[in-house]
Amino acid sequence: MTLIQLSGVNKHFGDYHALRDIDLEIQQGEFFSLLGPSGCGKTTLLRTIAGFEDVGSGSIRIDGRDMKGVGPNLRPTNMVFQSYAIFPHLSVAENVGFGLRRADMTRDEKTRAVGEALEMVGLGGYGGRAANALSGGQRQRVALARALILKPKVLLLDEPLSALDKKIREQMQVELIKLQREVGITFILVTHDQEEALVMSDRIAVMFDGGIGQMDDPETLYRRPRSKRSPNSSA
Amino acid sequence: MRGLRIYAIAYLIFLYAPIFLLPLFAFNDADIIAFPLSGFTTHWFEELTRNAALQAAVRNSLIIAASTAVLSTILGICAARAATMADWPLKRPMMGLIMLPLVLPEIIVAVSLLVVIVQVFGLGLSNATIIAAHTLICMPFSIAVLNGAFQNLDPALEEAALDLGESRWSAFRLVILPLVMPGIISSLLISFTISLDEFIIAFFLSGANPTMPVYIWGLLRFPGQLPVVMAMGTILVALSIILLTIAELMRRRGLKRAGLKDTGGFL
Amino acid sequence: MPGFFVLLWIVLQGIKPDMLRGRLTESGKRGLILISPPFAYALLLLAVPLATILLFSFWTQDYLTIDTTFTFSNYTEAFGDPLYMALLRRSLLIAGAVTVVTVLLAFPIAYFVSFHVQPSRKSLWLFLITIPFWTSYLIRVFLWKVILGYNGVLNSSLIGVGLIDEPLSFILYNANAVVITLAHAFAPFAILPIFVALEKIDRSLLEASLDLGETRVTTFLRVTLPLAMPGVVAAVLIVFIPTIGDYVTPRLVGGPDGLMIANMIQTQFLKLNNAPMGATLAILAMLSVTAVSLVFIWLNRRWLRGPK
Repeated sequence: MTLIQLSGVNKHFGDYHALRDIDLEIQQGEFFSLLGPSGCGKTTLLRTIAGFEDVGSGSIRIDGRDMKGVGPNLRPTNMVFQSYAIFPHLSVAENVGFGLRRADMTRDEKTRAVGEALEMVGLGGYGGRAANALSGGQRQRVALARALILKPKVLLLDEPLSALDKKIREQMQVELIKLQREVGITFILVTHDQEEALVMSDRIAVMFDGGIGQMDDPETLYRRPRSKRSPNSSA
Repeated sequence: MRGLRIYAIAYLIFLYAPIFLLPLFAFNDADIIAFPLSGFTTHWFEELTRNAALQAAVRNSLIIAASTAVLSTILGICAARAATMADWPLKRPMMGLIMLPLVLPEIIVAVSLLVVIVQVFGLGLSNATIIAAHTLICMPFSIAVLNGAFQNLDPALEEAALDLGESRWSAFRLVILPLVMPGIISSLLISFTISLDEFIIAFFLSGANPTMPVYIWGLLRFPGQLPVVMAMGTILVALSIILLTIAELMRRRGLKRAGLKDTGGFL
Repeated sequence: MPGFFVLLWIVLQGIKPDMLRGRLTESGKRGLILISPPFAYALLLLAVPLATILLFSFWTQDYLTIDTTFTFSNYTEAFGDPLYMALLRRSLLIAGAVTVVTVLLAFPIAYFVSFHVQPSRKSLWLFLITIPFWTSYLIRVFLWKVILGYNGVLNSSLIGVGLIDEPLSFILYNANAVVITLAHAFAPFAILPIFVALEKIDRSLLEASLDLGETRVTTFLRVTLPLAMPGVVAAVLIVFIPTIGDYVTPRLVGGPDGLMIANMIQTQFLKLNNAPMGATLAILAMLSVTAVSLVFIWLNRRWLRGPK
């Protein structure tokens, strides 16, 4: 079932054409990656889905609903930011529970939800810690828990692993795959690391210069790259 | 290097020496300010408590300083926040105008406001006019302090709050405000101190009620009052130092809270 | 006033063609909305009054009524009267002397804190240096009057210690006193910009210089000093410009020979009821300050680009 539908999406920053005629369909439950070098527009595309950037022309539909004019706080998406954006003045539990502030739940229910979310990302018991005392990998898990606790339809991840050491990165790749299977929601990942994309994704869209070059599952992409700019080619 | 260190200490002594004279002669039992010292007394301070005109001036100054601090900080928050946004046409000139009072001699500000208020609009002078002028000159300082606080913020923090369901205003209230709070407090304290000590604008724009510095100016004509002035000066300086130390501690706490490093002062 | 010319310069700097032609982003729009309150405030209370002063300088006042016929008579009077010109010249000289003394004394301190103080202690030093500046300016000037007076602290201690028999009289109620007092008051103004510039210097540049055979002294002259120049220029301007317009110090410690242009401006406004003349003097003072500053900046640019 198609969850996200982008039709003819264009975006300009002044004179710069950042997104060119993007047509994209992402299925429910997919682990979808946007792969490309810096400046190709992948993060911009992610941010338009999240609602942080307007589109110049074209439409974005999530679960059948047109997202035009819908702000990021009202979309069924949640994002894990590249810098993790953990609120430094709050504890880990307060961070994770941040989005529940206006939820129709009792205090106990909220506490329980936070506990479960932390367990799910492997940080059970960390609730009381100060958020700015964590390591990079731990912060990333908090960011994940904070986003997933709201049970969004789509989880958006902006280069989540690029700031981590190689060892931890590989570990997190496996964990993210497991997490996605467990939670069953659609993940959209942005990365410039082609190995990462090949390992984790169900499907990859290769982007270059604001447009989508090739879109296929990892195996097809690897064996039969259609252009110079796909994985497994020298570009 | 040895020589430099000695120079540095000597320089600090040069900076602080006049100020140390204040408590020295405020407690000195003599009518003139000169060595040798005569003996300890607190009666100059007692004279302060009996002086009704002084107390009125102090009250005036406090009201003006507090109003200035609040107004200047609010406008400063707007400007500092605007500075972190993307460019708009004429952004630099606008910011330039706002920061201009930093390099303008105060007499120019005083004189031009006097002309406009009295000659052009025919309004009277009062505390309100002083508050308006003080806010003008304190705004750049507030902005300088708050710029530091706002620039230390990761822009993704506000976006994360929005993403998690908050509106722009509640994101500001729950995430941004707490993180820049130390900067806000610093701004309040600094504006308060500047306004409290400011003389020339208050002198030009005073209505019937003088501020403390204007009152002190009046006293300077009378040599007999000099020790009393020393006593007042001691209190003023002590107060300023305390307020500023608090502002500095707040600034450091703000950095610690956000997990950032100290790069040295309001720069 | 320098206000006007600085403003003009800033406007010219700030207008970039694509900015006026290009679209306003969401973020830019929010920025514009946010800046409007403070900007409107500055416009109303700074730009408009400054423009009014400019206007006033071309009018004349007779007792209490303002004659708004456009005239240059104030300017011709100002240029023609030796008193005004002498006062202006003296103000420029005093401000210049204060600037030289202050910046020369400030540089070693800034250098010390930047290069010879542990990073963790730097903000403490800066804090200590700036505290005196935040205390009441009036009190500090008054203290110098007390220190430098005939029966003041300096004289009484020198006599008491036996170094001199008669009190020194050349230290108060003249231009010297003004220079000393202002140098003390504006010290932190000069230290901070120089410090910032020195901090920005990549230390590895200095190491490279030493590695290439320079001594510490020549490294300082060939690498550190030129790189710190922007800070020195800023310090010079930050001290020079406000000093011209100082009123309190000349009044308290200047005596008849140490009065500066600001005192005359005040006299015109409050005692002589000649606001247009006061305005004219203010503008002339600001024009000369702007001129001197621009010359200084230009000279500096040439000097820095010179030895190539």
